[in-house]
Amino acid sequence: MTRMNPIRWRVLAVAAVLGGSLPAGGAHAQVLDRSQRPVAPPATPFRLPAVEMRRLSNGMAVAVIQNHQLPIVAVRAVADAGTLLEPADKAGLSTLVSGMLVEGTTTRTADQLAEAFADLGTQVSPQGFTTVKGNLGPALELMGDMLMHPAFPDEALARNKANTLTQLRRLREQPSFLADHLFNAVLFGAAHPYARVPSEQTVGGITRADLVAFHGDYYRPQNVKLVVVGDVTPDAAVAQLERVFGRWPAGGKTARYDVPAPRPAARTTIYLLDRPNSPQSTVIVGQVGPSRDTPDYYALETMNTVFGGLSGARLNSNLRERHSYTYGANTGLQWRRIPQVSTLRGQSDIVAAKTDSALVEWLGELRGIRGERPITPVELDYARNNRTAGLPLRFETVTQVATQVADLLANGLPTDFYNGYAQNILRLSGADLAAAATKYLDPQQSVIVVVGDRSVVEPRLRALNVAPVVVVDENGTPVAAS
Amino acid sequence: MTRTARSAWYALAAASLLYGGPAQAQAGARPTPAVDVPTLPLVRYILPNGMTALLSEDHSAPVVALTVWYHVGSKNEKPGRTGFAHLFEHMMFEGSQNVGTGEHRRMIQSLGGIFNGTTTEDRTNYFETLPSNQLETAIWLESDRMATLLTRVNQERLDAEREIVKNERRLRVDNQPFGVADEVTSAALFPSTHPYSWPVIGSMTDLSAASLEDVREFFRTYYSPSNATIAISGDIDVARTRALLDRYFGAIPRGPAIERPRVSTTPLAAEKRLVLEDSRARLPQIQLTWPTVGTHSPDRYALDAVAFILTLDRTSRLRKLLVYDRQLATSVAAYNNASEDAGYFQVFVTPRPNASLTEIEALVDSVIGTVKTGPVSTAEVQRVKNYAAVSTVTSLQNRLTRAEVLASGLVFDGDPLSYRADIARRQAVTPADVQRVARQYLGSGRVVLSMVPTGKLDQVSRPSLPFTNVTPAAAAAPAPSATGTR
Repeated sequence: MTRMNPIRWRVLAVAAVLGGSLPAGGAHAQVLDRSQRPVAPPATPFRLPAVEMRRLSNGMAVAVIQNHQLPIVAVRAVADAGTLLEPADKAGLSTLVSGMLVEGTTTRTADQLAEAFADLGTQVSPQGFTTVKGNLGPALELMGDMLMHPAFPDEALARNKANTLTQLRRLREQPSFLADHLFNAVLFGAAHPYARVPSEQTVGGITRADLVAFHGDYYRPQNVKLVVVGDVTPDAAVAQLERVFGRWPAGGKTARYDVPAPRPAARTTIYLLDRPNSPQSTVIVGQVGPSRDTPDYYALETMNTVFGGLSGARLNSNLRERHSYTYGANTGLQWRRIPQVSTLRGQSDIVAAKTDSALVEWLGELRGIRGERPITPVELDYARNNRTAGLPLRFETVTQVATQVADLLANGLPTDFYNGYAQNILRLSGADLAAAATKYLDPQQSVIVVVGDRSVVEPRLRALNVAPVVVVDENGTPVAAS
Repeated sequence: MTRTARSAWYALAAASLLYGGPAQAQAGARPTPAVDVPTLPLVRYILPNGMTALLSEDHSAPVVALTVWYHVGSKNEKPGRTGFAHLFEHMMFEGSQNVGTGEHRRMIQSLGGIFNGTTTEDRTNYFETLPSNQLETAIWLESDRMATLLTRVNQERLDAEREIVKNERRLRVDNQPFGVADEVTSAALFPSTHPYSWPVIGSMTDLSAASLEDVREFFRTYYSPSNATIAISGDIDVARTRALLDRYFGAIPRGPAIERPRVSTTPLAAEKRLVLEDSRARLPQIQLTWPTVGTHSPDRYALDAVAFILTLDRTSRLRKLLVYDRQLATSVAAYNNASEDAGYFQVFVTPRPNASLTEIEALVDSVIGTVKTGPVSTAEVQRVKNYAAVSTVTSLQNRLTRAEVLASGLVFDGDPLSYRADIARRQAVTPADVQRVARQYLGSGRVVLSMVPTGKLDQVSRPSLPFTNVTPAAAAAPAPSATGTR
């Protein structure tokens, strides 16, 4: 409130001066020099939303953030009940459990739930909802019922299993799915949890008893956190949450993760999956990275912004803007829950006949960011400012705030994480970013996946001679030489 | 902080449209949520050169969003130049007199902002969201390309963007299983002279033909302030923003009068049956499409209601039958797409393996038949209205969405706040309206598209009826032998 006053005064003064010379449009053309880029006034101070952490009487953690922009609320549940907790031979179990929560509870059929949602005009999901504030109580009640008391009817399980298998077949029509699955299979090994995909066999063997057991183990107050954002006070929100979730009994298990170590990095290899009649090749280049709690976190993220994280970054500027090989190329860090490893990877769909040329450029950019092409002061500013000045855009809406806070909780990070964020970014130098690139991005030890038309792509890739080419099937197993 | 923020929404809610709640409980058997549909603050005016400005002030976040709409889309394209409006959109990011190639995106991103442009049949928009202190930079960038684009346009960059757009087409259409489904449907739905008959992305041949002279002519004809609307939403001061718009846009001359294409709704005389094969697909799909109405027809609200009554959720008629009761499909979606001058109603079914498209088509017809012959209950229509009211409010969170809503309302309805009238019109839909539009529009004149893996013509719906195979040559080609090319 007070923060706005000085700026407002200055703004009004400028307007008054300009307003005085209003009448003739032509007069403005004379004073306006378009070659002069405007100088912006100082940014309005941005305050991160204050997160109020509370506990319900059963110990369940809840985060409440007030935001009164609109008479609405957003709720998110963060459940430690994901795929890493399911047995390898039951791949698909955790997804079936979360999908089956909407198939009826001990007191409401699925159709009764659907009718209750329609009364509220809001699709309430067990994972959360965004709705008008008057709906908060009844929507929480429905969400809680689905999370705590699912019925898991046999008929619905059979349908969900069949639909899951159908969707898996359809996903294999998509080059992006094929490339993603293949990349994880060769990077981590096909049996590794990060590469695991449900199959006919694993889904077929899942029973109702498996669902009941998994739900009983992990859908428990110690594994579920709730986020409420919007036009509601913490006291009012907590009272509503207490009424719905306060008597949910403890029990089951506390989620623990025992993830096998990734394979040691190997010499760069190109894995080619034949997808005949593909006018583009879907390409992924990447490798294993450090855990989310690495001290290099800020340097890596900021380096990525220079390298490929945005459309104005180096990789897209090269592959799209300079060479027109693609509609877009981007890179990013796929962080996982601490202390699990991350993945550093880039992806692009490249016109088939230029797959080889694009890879040469891509590997050249990897060498460049490691030091061959030093990061300029302009690039450093670009990346640091994007991440820091852009913070208000990440917290603009009620839904965004809910998503951001839920992400922090899901990753085991403190809710005040963003308070020191800008400071940690702004102190980075170009040398810091290059050092992070040198440490973590290695063109000699990368996995390259190409999903494309083998008849067009393979001869070109072999002629390149930058790395061995292995033709593989969908799961990364080499195809016998023909 | 709290007080400032509170006053923001009180201001928004001051003239709110009340929907539902206990007072209106008698409207139908079904309860209705209490919804205040906010009225966005609005200052609307026209600059002397004809550009409309829509300013919506709200200080609840230090963010501003700006969108510039040009009332031109693929329907304004000339024969032989399909895809040009969208290719031109790409050229708008190639720089202008004071903004170098690629500088637009790097500048916005270096300020912490986001940007993009989109093209439809009817309009093209360019937008930015930025920290609010950067408003003037956004206005400068948008005005520089409106004032000076042609000073930088050149053959080399046109050729570069042409290849990028071809890659966009490959990504979205040609490399996707059945990716051409929508364009073969539109080509059958509308006569070949109808501007909605060709795809916004255009054909490869036409993209190759686009010339620099085409770029110049298109810019002079359509990219003038008199064909533009600017909407700005967020942490702005209205007086200062007016002064900035006047300063940066005021001197850009008005453009020529624009001859708009005559676009009519065109019912189909009879059913057209199409077949699409794709060697990359593993399972079939089916899509049924009827010509309907554009945004100006009041029937579109009842057509939306029909779509929701069919597939909104698990209790909706068609989804219940296909996905839950008969279990022939993993999903089914119906929607009514109303463009500015015409529209279509579409049902898209994703079948289970081994489900018969013939049987699915028959069931779709039978369920639409039940809507036509009734009864349709008030409660069934009311659930559609409840969802529409709540989603209108929750969708207004984002400043860019607000700016887009205002610009769209102005350009298509002549009323920036037409989202409020929309809610009222949706509330007025009755079960009788639903039945009437189902009978009127969802008749025998339609396009039925069977999509099957290459060679599986036995999986086509009702294969004994005559059909046209619309498969593009590339997708139909038998898989080339990998060994032959080693």
